[in-house]
Amino acid sequence: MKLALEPEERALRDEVREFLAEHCPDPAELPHDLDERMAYLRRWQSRCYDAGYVGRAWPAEFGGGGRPTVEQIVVDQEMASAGAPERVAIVGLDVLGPAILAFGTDAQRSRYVTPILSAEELWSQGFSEPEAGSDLASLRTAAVETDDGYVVNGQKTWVSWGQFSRWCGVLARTDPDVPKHTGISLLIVDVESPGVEMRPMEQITGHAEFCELFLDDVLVPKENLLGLPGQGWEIAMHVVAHERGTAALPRQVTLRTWLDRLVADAAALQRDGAPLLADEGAQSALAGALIQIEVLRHHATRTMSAFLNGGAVGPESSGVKLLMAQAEQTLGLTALEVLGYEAAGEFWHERYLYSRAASVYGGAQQIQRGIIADRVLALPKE
Amino acid sequence: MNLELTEEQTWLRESVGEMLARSAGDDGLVPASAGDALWRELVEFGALDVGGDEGLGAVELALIAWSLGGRLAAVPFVDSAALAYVAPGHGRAALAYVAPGHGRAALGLSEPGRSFTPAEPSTSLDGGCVTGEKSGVAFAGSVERLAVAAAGPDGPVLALVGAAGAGVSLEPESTLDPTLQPARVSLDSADAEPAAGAPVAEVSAVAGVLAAAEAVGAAAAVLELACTYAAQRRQFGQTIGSFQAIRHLLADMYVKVESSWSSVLYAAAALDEHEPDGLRTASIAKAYAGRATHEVAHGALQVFGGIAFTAEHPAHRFLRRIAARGAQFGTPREHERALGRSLAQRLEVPA
Repeated sequence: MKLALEPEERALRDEVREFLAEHCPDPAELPHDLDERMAYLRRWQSRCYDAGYVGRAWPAEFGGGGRPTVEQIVVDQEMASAGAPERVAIVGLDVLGPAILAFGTDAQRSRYVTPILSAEELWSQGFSEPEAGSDLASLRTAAVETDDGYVVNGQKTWVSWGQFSRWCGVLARTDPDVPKHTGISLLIVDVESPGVEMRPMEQITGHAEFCELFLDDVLVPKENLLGLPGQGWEIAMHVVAHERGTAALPRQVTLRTWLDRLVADAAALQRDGAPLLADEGAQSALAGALIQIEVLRHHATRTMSAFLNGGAVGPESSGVKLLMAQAEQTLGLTALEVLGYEAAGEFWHERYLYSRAASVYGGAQQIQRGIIADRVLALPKE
Repeated sequence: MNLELTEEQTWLRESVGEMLARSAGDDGLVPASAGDALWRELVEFGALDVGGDEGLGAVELALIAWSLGGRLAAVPFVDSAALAYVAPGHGRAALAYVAPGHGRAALGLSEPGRSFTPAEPSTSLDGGCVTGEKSGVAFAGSVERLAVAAAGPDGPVLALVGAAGAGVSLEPESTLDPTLQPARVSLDSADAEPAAGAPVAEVSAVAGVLAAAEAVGAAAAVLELACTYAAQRRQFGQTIGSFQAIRHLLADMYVKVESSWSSVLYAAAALDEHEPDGLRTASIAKAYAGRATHEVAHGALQVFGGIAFTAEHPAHRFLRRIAARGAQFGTPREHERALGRSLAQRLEVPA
């Protein structure tokens, strides 16, 4: 047990800090227009990749840095701490890239991995369907094998950044005659193929970060199958559990920078002629948010320690996911309570509205509790 | 950045676990009658040999406290270990400092009718004599030495007082958990020596982390009992553990236990490594684990249902211990208040 960074990790942290001091974009610089914004974010990720800060722990032969995983965590935490823009290729970096590395062929790894790291090609995931949300395994999108490849028909939803993606990892049913989890395969769909339509959907934040995806007789070459036929569910669950564990450490740093901003915003305000921050209720509410964020850090650190020491990220990552949603939602609501629901302003309104999704995306809160009940506590099945 | 137990730490936890299993009765809990013998065994084992290259740190002490909590052992480990942790010297020397002989000590950091502000005591140390009142002093009647926070000429200090000395009187207090035997301690010009190099804030932080560790151990144990019960108890023709309402309650309890434990271990490691925000992290862990373990105990009572409200069933004993440890060395609310004040002070702009 040791909290302090090793000398090499400390040196890396200092190096990243220097890089960020020189290159980190001012958030005010980010273009408002979504297309321009995406182009800007791709240039930023590409610059970070050139500096060795993206895919640092991915295999060197496929464009990664070949370094220990802890180094990527150090980098990500520094990036979050400096308020650096998010990694635009996030779906590729967190979900499909790791899936290709773990389950893909060498040809697939050589073809797809490096462009994810450099943000040259963005990815989306076609998992959820209008009738298959929490009950993902009941998905209906069908892929029928023909001599030319798989012919895919169906509809997907919540396809994050779909309109900007070059490739989409689509879960489709390749065998309708076996129990529902076992007949699903993961296909790499070229978004430019005939029959693919991405329709952006406006979210409650006013942005359109996700799409509906319509697949109409889309032909997918056989070499675009990831893993084995029928292995899609296993691959998806593996990478999603992994993502639950790894996303939390940089996320808690981001939440911490937002809390600092909230305290600063509150410090600038008066209420009833007295400083807002002198109010006991406001102080306790801020402390409550701080505690949630710090405990997320403590718990994610312990969960990730097991992984960094060679263990797998298992169902315990569902606990991290639940705490992550709780911390984010506590902060979002606390901002409104402390600053005033209306007076809080656009930044906090957006944080608050977005925070409500934290207990839904990536597997709803109730799904996480079910995973813990089944696979950690081994309770009787429902 | 590694919060996994080392081989030595795993061995320590297993060894203490085996020791406690031998002391436990049929219900898996250590009976009050076994307390003295268990204490001697713990001291001989080296459970208070703190500091130095080979000795124990706050992480190891937290592992021991966690194990004691799981079996609801009633021994003055939390207070004695916290005092040993801040003692000058290490190993057996630290033990001798805690109290000659059996090495049992009790901390007096709270004062009646006042919020928990151990570093601002109204108790005073003047010319080798300490005068004042302390409340909630666990095991005060069975320890050799009291360590009380007192205002000295140069600021707050920990004053060491013989528990049976002149000018020391004890009065048992009402308590949720009688096994901790808390007392109000009145000191009337009692002979005292200031504890060199043992800052009140640090001993309070370590004691809080160890009390939280004991509560987490108790919460983990009562969660396990509740899961076992839910998998056996049948209603409406099926086991209650198959009902989603119960499954989700237990899953939330699990997250509370595990995240509390992460926070306690993190805080203990931060103290051991002299992290600059170690005291604040300890306060966060105490506040969070206090609330979270309390909710776990409440959840367990709900899962057990009516049987939990019989004196014979152990559920209430876990609840009592968890509530009492949560209140000791600062309630969650008191820690939250202090954290909130410090957040406000750091950024407050002059009006």
